[in-house]
Amino acid sequence: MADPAASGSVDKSVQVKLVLLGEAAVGKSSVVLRFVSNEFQANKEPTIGAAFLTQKCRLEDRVLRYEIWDTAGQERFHSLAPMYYRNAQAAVVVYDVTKATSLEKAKSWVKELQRQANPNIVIALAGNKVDLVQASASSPGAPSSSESEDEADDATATPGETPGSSEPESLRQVPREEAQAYATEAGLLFFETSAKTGEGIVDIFTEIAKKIPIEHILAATRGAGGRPGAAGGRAGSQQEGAVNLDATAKPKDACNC
Amino acid sequence: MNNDEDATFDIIVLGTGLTESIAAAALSKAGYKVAHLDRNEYYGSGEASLSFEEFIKWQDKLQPFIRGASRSGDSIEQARAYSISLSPSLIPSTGPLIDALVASGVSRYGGFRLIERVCVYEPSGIVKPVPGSKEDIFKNKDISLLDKRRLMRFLMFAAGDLEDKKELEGHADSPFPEFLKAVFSLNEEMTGAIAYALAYCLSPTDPTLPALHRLRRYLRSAGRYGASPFLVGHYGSSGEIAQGFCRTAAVSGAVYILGRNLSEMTISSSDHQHVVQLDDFDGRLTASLVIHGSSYAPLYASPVPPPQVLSAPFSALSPNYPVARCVAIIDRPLSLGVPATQSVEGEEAADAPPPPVPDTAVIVFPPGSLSNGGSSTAPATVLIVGEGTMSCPKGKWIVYLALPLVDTNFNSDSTGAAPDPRVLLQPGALPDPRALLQPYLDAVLALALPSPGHEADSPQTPPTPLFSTFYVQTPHRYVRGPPSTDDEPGAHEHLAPVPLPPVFPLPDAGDAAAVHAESVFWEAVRVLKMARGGGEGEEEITSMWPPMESREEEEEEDFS
Repeated sequence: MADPAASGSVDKSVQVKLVLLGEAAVGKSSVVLRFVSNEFQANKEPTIGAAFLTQKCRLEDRVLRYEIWDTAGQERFHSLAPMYYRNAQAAVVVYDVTKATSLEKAKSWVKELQRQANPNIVIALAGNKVDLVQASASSPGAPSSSESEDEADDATATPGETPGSSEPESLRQVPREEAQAYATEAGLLFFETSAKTGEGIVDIFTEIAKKIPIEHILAATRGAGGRPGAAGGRAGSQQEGAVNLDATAKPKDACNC
Repeated sequence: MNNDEDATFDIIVLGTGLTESIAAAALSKAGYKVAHLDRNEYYGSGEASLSFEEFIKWQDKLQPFIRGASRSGDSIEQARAYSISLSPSLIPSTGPLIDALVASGVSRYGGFRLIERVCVYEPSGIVKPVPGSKEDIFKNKDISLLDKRRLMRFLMFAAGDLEDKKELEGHADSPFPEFLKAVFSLNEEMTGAIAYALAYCLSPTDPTLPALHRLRRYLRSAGRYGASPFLVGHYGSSGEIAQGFCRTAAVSGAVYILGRNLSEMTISSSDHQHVVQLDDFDGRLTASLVIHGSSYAPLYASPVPPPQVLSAPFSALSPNYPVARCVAIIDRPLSLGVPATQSVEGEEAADAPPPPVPDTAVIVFPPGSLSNGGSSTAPATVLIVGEGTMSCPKGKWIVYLALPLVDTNFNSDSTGAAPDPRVLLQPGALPDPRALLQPYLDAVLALALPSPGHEADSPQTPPTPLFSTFYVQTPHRYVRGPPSTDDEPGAHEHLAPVPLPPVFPLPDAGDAAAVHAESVFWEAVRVLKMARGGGEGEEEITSMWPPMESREEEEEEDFS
């Protein structure tokens, strides 16, 4: 199995497990797709269909290699496995600026992370679909339709859940200031983003990269096959005996008896 | 699908134990629409890994297959840092579970650790390393030259092909320890080590051929990931592995609904579809096939039997004993001697550094090895896992003790007619697990080293565990086959994998689940093909795990 990261290696990049959280249809997968492939698909089917996606992020003298985990839809009926948060060094909690309840849901995910996850986890709050609340005139070149996953509404210039509304800003249900204040109070990074236009997406990942305690991760994952998921983020834990099943799979005739 | 919508699936899987989770992942990857449900809030059913608080809640819920539970307390510091396994076991480095983990990609989700030490307990109160390889035997100072030769001869025999071996003639069914003594002239001590700490027999009557097959699998596992043949998974192992398979199923589109009871399951008369309703859930789920995990045994169903192959980790011959279990949490390391491979070089030099404290270890108590109390007919196994397995905080160890209750075998193949496990519900039908296991726990605690930092003042008093609990786990009720009359339409579209026995040879529980899941997978494929009228025009499914796409690892462009 080709897994360049797992086979140890010369690559000096630091592995960071990053998990995505947020209510269904706020655009979690679209945010990642924009970051990883610089693509956007309107009306994307729920769930991304990959175990995780990887993307490098260069930061001054070092390279972070994000291993980005999507929920695979398991959050929908509150059935996200604890395995999902284990050893995550970063989380992006996404809400939809046009849907007030999605911020409430985001807050409960933040609480859950603070309860369950690694205490050093870096959390970013992302208010997505901000393109929906921007007047098309004020952002020339940026298409004004949205990546809304559950509404086939990207054909109109001023789409939205509020029929007849002509003021884009009136679609906004979460004021930027309110979310910003919450993020500051809870110690989160904060961005308003659009996976549709790309606005704010790369910033999330570079700002997280700046805030990640890299030395800490290096110390914790050293000798553990270099995999954040497999290694555990606890500093100083004994990792000598950790095994990577894929990296060291050898023919079975290595029997020593 | 939302909470208030109806949804149609090919398969509804009930329960998220390892067998069901592996099957769900494979079926979902094969393209079937799967809904995977569990009444519990946690993944893993009877094989779950639970945090300390979840474990206490689990015990208090009066589980139908748990008897005689008692415990020392309800709390512990850093409670959330524990992952307590309901099915503690080892994973051989080669075998069906490892194959499934690698072929499905689930191995990338979890971490694993080698078992550092396997020791056997002797009546004198000391533990000795188990000689599991040529090197171990060679360097062992305690074994006489003649015995070394006998042991070597046996291991060569056991590692080779078992077909047409003259040593086996007339012995295939004899008890394994007797075979070792009669055919290889091994002494009592070595027989105990081989039968219980290398082949992990559950009783002195375990038949020879399956024991040899097991031993051969273990011997061939050594060297794949390290000297030890065995691994243990992070975060309580089996429960975490089940979560990994469930995530893989979800990534392929399976829908997960946990923490809700089944309120109704009916079969629609018009199209013979199963219709499932859940408590506090408005939508109805419909599917052609229902797979019942062991805690969802239906009245009538097609049981998916264990394989008939004797060499399989789970076969029609696997004994089905109740098991007495103890889980204890300790805060002092155990002295388990020097690893076998270091014993010569060390030469007991006074200034030799103390052997490293193992993070993971197994201690085997052959029958009769405890001078005060303990079972004379069954072996007890102890699995110890520390911080390195991510299952407990630094400086703590979880000790899992298991003693099969070999007086009652519920396997119908070995005893003719299996007794109904419900006989165990009668008062006095089961021994008190605490009385049975306390002597073993005491023997383990007596091996504890002084607390770090307090080596000087060592009045070597055994530690008191921070927590301990004792309970008996009984076999599940087996399901009946479909009724002979056809008054239960669609009964054949309920698949019920025969529940796994509560106790396996320590390294076999996961492999057993993987083998069983494969039977369930193929049976489900067959039933669904029939239900769809022969499956013409459909793509033939030829392997349980299709070759993995490497697309998710390919995205390597730099982003700055």
